[in-house]
This record gives sequence, structure tokens and C-alpha cells, in this order.
Amino acid sequence: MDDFYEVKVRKVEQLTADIKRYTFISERTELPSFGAGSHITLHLPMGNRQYSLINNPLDMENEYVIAVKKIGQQEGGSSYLHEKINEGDVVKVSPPHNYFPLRLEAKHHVFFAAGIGITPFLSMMAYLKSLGESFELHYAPSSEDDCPFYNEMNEMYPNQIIYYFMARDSKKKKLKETLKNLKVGAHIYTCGPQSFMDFIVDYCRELGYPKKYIHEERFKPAKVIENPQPFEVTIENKKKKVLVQEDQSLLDALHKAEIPLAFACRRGICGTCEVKVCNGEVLHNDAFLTDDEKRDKMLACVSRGIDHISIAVD
Amino acid sequence: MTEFRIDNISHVVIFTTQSYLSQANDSARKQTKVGHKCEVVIMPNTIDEARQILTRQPLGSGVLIYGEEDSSQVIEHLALSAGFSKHEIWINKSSVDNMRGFCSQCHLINEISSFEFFECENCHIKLQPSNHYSTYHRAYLAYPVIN
Repeated sequence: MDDFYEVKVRKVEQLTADIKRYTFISERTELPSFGAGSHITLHLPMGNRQYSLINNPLDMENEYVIAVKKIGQQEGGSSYLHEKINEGDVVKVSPPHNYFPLRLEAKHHVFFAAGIGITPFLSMMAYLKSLGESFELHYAPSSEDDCPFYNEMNEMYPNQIIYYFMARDSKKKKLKETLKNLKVGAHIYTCGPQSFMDFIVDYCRELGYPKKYIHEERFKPAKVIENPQPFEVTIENKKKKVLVQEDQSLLDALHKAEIPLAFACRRGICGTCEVKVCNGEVLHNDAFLTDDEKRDKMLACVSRGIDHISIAVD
Repeated sequence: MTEFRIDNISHVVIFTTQSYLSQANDSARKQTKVGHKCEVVIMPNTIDEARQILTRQPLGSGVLIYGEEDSSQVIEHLALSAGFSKHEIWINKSSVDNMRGFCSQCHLINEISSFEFFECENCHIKLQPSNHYSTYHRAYLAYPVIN
């Protein structure tokens, strides 16, 4: 389990009608440094919520900066931050993790963002600019008024950003043109609403771009399993059986049965909770394993068995 | 001769010297038959020209090189610095005679003919070539065989 830090809200800035920027500092301890693309987990009354860090890791002065868009229901994490958290308040955060790192072997980094999906790219672009590396951003906010960081980004990266303020069809056509013309040495990164990321990733596949050059930041599993069913699991190398309830993950069921299994993201992204599948059918719900790997592996945090499966854990 | 693996590659650029041109064209025909786009290029005279050809290739391309060792090595290094991964570069070897095994004990590079065990010419230790290939030494790392 992660340690956490109590950080103080030093500044809250309203960037657009529904996006605020929060700067957290610690007056007591040195906050861990982070890599471009990292996120922190905020421990909020309604549960843990992940937000990308947007400051330059190379300029970090014991502060974490995030941007939050108010979405969804009143009891959601973003509404809580927008309505209840003010300058001077204290919140708990876990240290940064990075499931969306820059690939430093790239000769050119190409970012595709929509909406609040811009956030991981802010730390990445600042970092790459500090190093003098080559990059470009393709950004599709819903409108200029809803575009956070518009002036800041134009000032910092005057020749590296292309905005897509246009109707959906024209936007798709232009994005396809851009993707089609990418040259060797480029790495593609995408973050934004699921439909946007699916569009980018699917078109890259259509173009035959190898998977290793395409990187996505998903804060949710790739799919959602509708109407999850309970299933039984035999842990072959522990000689144990556990029942996974419909509202429980395999990871939680293993922990409850005191079978240790390492984990980190709990969202099917990092691969830490991978287990070997010895027998049975699995509903895969992660964004980590390849099709080949899915034949005999699963991620215990998000994937589920059907009826009965056998697994082995290290 | 090892086959060029093009599982994840849809576009291939083939560099060749005049003396290997017919082999290169054969290879291009094979690639085209299976639906891959192919471009055959006679080994350029200048490094700049070769670099330009490599950097204009679409993302996800592969490079095949037909030529003598020196010129092949130059293209390979240019391709790596253009952003191709070593798995996307394939150098044709007209025979397997010039495979090289790097002795992990004394660092001598031995000429080998296969991935079978061999004895290092310098330290006489029995070695097994691994699949770890050094693009710098152009040799496979070979480990001592115990017993």
C-alpha cells in the first residue's frame, strides 16, 4: 500500500468555466520528484481519484500541480474538488506514479489530446522543451473558450501546436491526414475521452503502425464488463479456492483470502497484478496485455473468469 | 539464410548495391506479392542522401540491406539513428559464414557458422551464442557452457 502525503492547497485558479488548476505544496516534507506523464492519487471522501501532474518535472519546487474539469454527478471527485476544496485546505495524496512515460528513444513525439486529456502532455511538453527534443501537439478542445492553457501554450510552444476547432467530421478527416503522414522515428501518444482515443488508436492500426509506437493514457479500463457474474478460482500453486463475488475483483478476493499479490493502478493499465491462467475462460478488461499474452495471463484487478478458472500466482 | 520478418511492417525500403540488385528485386517482388509496399534504392553515394531516404519513410517501415559489410553497416547505423528499431532492420548475408560470436570471457569476436556451441579461438572456452545481438560489435553475445 502506498504512503501518502498531506499537502496544502497553495493556489486554486479558474481556467475555464469548468476547469480549475490546483497547486499543492508541502511545508513539512520534501515531495517525491516525478517523470513527465505521471499522475498523483488524491484521497477524497468518495474514494481515490487520479490526476495527471501538469508542471515541468525539471522545474519542480516541492509542488504538485493538477488541472481538474468538473464533470458528472454532484458526489463525484471533480465536483468535490471544485466546490469544497479551497486555498489553505489540506488533502492527502499518494506519491506520483507513471504509467504514461515518454519514450526517450523517439526522434519525434506526436501528442493527440482532446478536452481535459491535455493534462499529461503539459508536463511532457515542458520537459521536452527543456531538453530541446522534437514534438508536436494536436489538440481538439470543444471550443476556444473551453480550451484551458490556450494563451500559455501558444506563448511557450508557438510553432508546435495545431488546434482542431471544427466540426467532428472535418476534425476526423484532418486527424487522419496527420496520422497518415507520420514518419519513422515518431511515437504517438493520446489522451482524452475514450471515443477520441479509440479513434486515434484504431486508425493507427488501420495504417499498420506497430503497437510499440502508440501510447495511450487511460484512467479507466479499456472496456466495462456489464453485469459482472461471480466466479470460482482455483489457485493451483497454493492449493486454495476462492469465490469472487459479482461486486468484487479477483485481486480483492485473493487479498481477502490472504493470498498476496502485488498491485498498483487497479485499472488494468500497469500490469503489476498479472497472474497465469492455467485453465478456464476469461473476460479480459485491461489495456495492458497483448492478444498473445491474453491466452494464458490475466490482470486480477479488472478481468474476470467465467464460471470457474484455475490460476497460478507467484 | 534468415528470413526477413515483416509481421508488423507494411512498407519496406530495400537498399542494395548493383551486385545484389537482382536478389533485392526478387525480395521486393516477394514483399509486394504479400501486399507490402516496397521501394528499391541503389546504395546512395552520400550519407546525407541515405539519411534523407530513411527519414522520409512512413512510421512502421522496415529496412532491408543488400551489400558488402562496410556499406551495410553505414546504412544500418543511419537507420538506427533515424528511429528504426533493430528489429526493423535486416541485413542480407549471402551466407551464414560471416556470423560473429562475442566471447563473454575474453571479448574476442569469433567467426561462427551457426548458433551451435563453438570454442573461442583465444581463450578456448566452450561458448553458446545467445540471441542478444550487439549492433555495435555486429556480433551475438556468447556465454560459457558450464560442464
